[in-house]
Amino acid sequence: MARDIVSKAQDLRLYYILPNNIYVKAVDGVNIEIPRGGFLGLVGESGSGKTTLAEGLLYLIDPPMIKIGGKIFYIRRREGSSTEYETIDLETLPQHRLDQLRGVELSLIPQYAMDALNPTMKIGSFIKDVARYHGRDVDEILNRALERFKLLGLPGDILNRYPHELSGGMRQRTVVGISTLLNPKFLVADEPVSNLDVVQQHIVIDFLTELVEKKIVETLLMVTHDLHLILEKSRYLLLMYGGHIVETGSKEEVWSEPLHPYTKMFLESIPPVGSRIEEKRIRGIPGNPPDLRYPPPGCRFHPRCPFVMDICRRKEPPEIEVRPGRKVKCWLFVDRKV
Amino acid sequence: MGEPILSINNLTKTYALGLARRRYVKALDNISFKINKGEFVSLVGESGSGKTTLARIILRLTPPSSGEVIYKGKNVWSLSDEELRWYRKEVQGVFQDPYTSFNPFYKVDRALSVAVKKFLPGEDEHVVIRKVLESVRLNPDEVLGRYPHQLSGGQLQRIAIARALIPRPELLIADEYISMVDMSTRVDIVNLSRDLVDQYKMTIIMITHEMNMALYATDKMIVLFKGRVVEYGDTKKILKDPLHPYTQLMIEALPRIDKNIERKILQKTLDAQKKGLTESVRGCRFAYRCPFATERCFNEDPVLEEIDKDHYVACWLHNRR
Repeated sequence: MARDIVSKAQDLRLYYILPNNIYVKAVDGVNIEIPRGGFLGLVGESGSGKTTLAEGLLYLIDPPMIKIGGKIFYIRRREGSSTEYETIDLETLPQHRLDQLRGVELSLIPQYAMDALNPTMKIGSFIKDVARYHGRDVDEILNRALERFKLLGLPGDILNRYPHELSGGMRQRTVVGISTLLNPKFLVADEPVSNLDVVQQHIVIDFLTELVEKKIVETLLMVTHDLHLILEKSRYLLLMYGGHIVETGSKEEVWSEPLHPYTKMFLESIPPVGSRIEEKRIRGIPGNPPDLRYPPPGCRFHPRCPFVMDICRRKEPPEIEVRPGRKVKCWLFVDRKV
Repeated sequence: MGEPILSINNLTKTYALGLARRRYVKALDNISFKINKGEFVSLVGESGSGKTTLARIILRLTPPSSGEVIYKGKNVWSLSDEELRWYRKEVQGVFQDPYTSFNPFYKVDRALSVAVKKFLPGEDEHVVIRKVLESVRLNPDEVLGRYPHQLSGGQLQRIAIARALIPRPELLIADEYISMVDMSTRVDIVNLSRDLVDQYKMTIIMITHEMNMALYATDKMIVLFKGRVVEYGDTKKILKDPLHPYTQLMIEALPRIDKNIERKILQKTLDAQKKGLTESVRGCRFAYRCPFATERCFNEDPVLEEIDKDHYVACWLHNRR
């Protein structure tokens, strides 16, 4: 069991406190198991809580974000053993152990990565600092950085440059490279290709895919609003809406047979390549995403759902496991397993 | 078709960079095209293509270095004061970030009522605002009386479009107006634009990096690369038969569920970029990324030529002269 899962959240609630004591319920009762291995996608639109959940899984919880409830586990191979796994409750870990774990086994490519570099440090000095902090051989890490930067299409003299000497796209790719330097087992990439042109997008996605295929990174969780971006490479998808995980499954299952009305309408809202408006008009999802300060009662999607029933307005739907790994949070599937 | 509503003639914009060692960058390099009334046009390009500079020049926010913008026969950059007032009414803009388009301290109603007072003095503000909101498919009761932060990006962008419609413009310049709207509602904004063109004979220029939306809904497409028009014409023709390798690349790069799609041009471009070759100094700017480039492409500028009716390309592969 444990070997199949890399990260787990139980009834996780992560809120933001606003100055007037109002809570933004960004992650509101999430139960998930992130499968171990391969390229996975966490897909949601703005305000769905996906970034908050991604940060939460690495226990990057700093005010104004607070954990109201629930647990976050990281499951790793026990040191010195190839078959045994241990489940770590990240909350119980002392800060220094957590810092050790991050970067080495857990890593995050942050959202707005192009602004994540220290402007007063040359890229090379920054990398040396990272290597020293984690007690690694500086030359080895620098060489690895050069290799990775080359794969990312960055110039050879990049170590001697300051961030302001690089274009936004180059800075973004630099951060992608740096985030992978310690060969993390579990890498969370939060919108790593937003603001890049299509060629650069392919460079970054191919780079990350290569790390996964070579097993340098065991599990990659890519967080994105753009389902199409990860359609080709990912194997497993988690869909998020209004602070809840609404559907999970293999990419093929989600694509060919979406269960949740949100997923279905979301997939249908994107014009297929080559389609024309005169032939078939593609429709978006009517209505607006919920305000997570005052989320609607019951199912968060019910105000926009064409299949809404009375119970959807009153009670939060349970998570139904249709098949192992295939879940949907929707009243339509209660007592009606497909 | 008669007279075009907008003609861009040999437009160039040069920016100077650096203080000690001055360098000059051509954001737009001798651009020409024509747009007819009632067309839904997409101007497709990635960051650095010059598309926003072009929008700003048309909207009279940035002066060109040389060349002309002709709107209904008048040079936009040499209008009299009276003509300028007319132009500001006829041509409206909608911009990328709806949250910065509205003053956060005022209810959205204010932006609309200011526009009515300015452009339609004497008309019933209340009636105009409700009507214009309905025309962008918003329920006035749901949005009026609210502050910008209480509305979604999609709602705000529709209000921005509504505000732009108040002067009853003929030409709407929409600069990346869908890029900050939720994925699942983007297509509705594009559908709405299509309807404004079809129902009110408006002319809309949608500036975007989203090739997919441009192919889906527009009549005419202009593809910009590094400040130059590389391909331009009937969108359906470009969809069926993209001629310039850069246009092919943009279409090729679009994500597909079937993994087996061959991406020849993209692969070549990736290889070039990894070698640090991204831009040619002379000749075709795309030559270094192009799998079909010949000696000539690196040395001589290709000229925009009409290859088929309403289908222009600037590429030596297709040039017949």
